[in-house]
Amino acid sequence: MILLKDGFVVDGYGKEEKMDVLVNEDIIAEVAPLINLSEAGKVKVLDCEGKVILPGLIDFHVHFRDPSPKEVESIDQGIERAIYGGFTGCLMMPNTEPPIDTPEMVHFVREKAASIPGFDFQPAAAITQGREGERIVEMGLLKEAGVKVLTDDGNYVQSAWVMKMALRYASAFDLILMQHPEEKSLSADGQVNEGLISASLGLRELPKAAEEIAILRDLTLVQYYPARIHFTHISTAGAVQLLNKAKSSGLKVTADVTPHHLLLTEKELVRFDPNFKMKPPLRTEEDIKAVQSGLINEVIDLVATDHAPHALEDKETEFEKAAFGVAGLDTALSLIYQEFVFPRKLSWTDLVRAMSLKPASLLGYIRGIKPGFPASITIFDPEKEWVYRKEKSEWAYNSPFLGWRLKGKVFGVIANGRLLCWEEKLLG
Amino acid sequence: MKPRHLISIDDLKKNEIEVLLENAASYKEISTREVKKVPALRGKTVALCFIEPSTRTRASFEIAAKRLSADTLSFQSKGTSLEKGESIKDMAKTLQAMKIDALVLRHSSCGVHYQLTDYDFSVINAGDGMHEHPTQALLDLFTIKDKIGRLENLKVAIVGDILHSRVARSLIKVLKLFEAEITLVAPPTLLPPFLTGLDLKITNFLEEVVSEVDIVYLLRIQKERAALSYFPSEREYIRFYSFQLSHLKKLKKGSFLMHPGPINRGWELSSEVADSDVSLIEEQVENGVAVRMAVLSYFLAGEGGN
Ligand SMILES: [Zn+2]
Repeated sequence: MILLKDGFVVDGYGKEEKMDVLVNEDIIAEVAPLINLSEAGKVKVLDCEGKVILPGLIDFHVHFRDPSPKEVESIDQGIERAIYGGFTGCLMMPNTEPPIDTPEMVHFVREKAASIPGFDFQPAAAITQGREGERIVEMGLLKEAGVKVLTDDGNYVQSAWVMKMALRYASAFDLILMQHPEEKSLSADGQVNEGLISASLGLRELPKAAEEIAILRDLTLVQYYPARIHFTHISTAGAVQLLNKAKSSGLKVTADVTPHHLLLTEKELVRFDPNFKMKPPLRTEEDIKAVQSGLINEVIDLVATDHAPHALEDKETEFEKAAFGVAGLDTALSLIYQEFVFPRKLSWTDLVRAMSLKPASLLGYIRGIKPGFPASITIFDPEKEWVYRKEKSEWAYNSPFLGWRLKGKVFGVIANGRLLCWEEKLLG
Repeated sequence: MKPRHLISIDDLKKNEIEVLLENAASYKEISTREVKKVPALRGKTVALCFIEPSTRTRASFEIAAKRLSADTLSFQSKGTSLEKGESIKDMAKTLQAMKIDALVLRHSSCGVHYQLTDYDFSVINAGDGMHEHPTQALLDLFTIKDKIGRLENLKVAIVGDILHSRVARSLIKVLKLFEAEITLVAPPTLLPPFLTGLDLKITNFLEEVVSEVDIVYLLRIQKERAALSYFPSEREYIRFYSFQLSHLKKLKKGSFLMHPGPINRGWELSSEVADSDVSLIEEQVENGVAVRMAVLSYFLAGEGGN
């Protein structure tokens, strides 16, 4: 048994108060103002004075490069980094080499993740075979293999006919189709947001219209062919408007936004630093304001990192050759705390909804600091001040937040009853 | 007298179908005699024109016509004048000039038969694209009545590629006339969307219906058609829509399995199932001749006069 003593508990369902939390095996046994135990010897008491106790976070969008011909963050290394960042579960994208598009591949990656018990690891499978956008994957067999989400992330399912097939077929199995909204015939080989920055830097453009057209097409399709659809890494004001309209009309649609699209603009690109290169690209002041209010108003359901580690040689190169994508697992919670919860734009309960409860419900997990709930808990030290720097050689640090002074840091993680991180250190 | 046509099940009234089935029963008896021939259509000419390849249906119609003593004239898909670019209208005029009495036509274009209704011969649809295959539906109905003994209160599951199936379209219409409870079983991609207001049940899973129906009707997967891009793989189709031994155990006593043929063993059903007692596939073929005899005589010998 583990007793978390004197922490500030955010239960996820509206309560935020000082409580003790008792964990028995993989379940939260008790949440009460003062828990005293007679059989003290069997209980590991962890002092949480001054710490915030949150329902275990889940990252709905991560890339681990495994399997891959390159040695960049394998699944177990990635999961460790996720734990270090306060996550107790994640949804892994299927754009591995080869891609995760069959039940066999799902079993293969699950097997790899099994080396870290307790962590809720979910592989997403592709929507189309080989992520090629032509023939749909074996959704029924994948569902039987435990898959909840399908995505060709990195690729938008470009053919409307194929997307219709996917939506129709997925509806039989209640699978979520996650779209990376980028109309490729418009975005082509674009590099940065289309606007003054692309104009002055001379880099090819990634128009906002490419994102919005992609979303609009799929919103139109789901009106006719109802299915569960999720738009990942929303980045433009227009996209937020489209989602808002769709949700008000009662469409079952969800969306996420990344910390970098919430906080950074294209202005960061003036020094051509590839650590600011990702898809969708950093947009404008107006856009980050819109996605921020989208998150606050729940038009955007959740925050996901789109953690995309890259080998040094793929980032330390000419901007146009550099890979798209940035690392994000170990900064997300601190950033959202510092930029939203600390200045009271979001409550702790809001943060927990966006980073734990919503992704959990989409993936079929249960989160909350309540008796009888699974003991997946994130413990956060809101007072800790630190600077984000390269720490571990096995992790890729292609992050736009390198060098940032951050407020608040993950202190501990319990995943399904297992203490995996304590005092900011990974255990085991 | 203007000739009548059988292009769609809609061309028949319910009581006419009942007559056809009764007649088919007598014709079935004829097929068991040593001399399998009656003079019903002596002196009549039936042209069999199959623009789309077919062995079974063509053979079935040809035998039916011959057992009725009609003269037959056979065009096959290869080398027909239609293939050489002759228009359907010119072909009709030629046949008209040859004074045929009936044209049995299979064609890959939906509804092409309707362009042939103003000539002096009857048009019998032997399958038009994805539209209809009325004689198949009639022989299926006959087979059901023959085996189950009734056409009332039937529960029928139609399984597979509904979207591309002319058999399904005719079968649904004919079963509806007899107020059967029909469940369509298919992945959503092989079902037309927006099937509302048709009083059809729909499910995506075969296991959900096997124990409840009198007839499981398995449609053929047209491997040569685009159908393949409508579902992910052979093994996934088999997992969710193939009739296996495990389903056989769940089938109600007195329920049967049907298939319009030719079957793809291992796809729509396992080999063991195809050869089991509940399979009516051979009966369907046998009854096909009798039902087509009934259709030809009804439409040509004036039995079905206006
Ligand atoms: Zn993406």
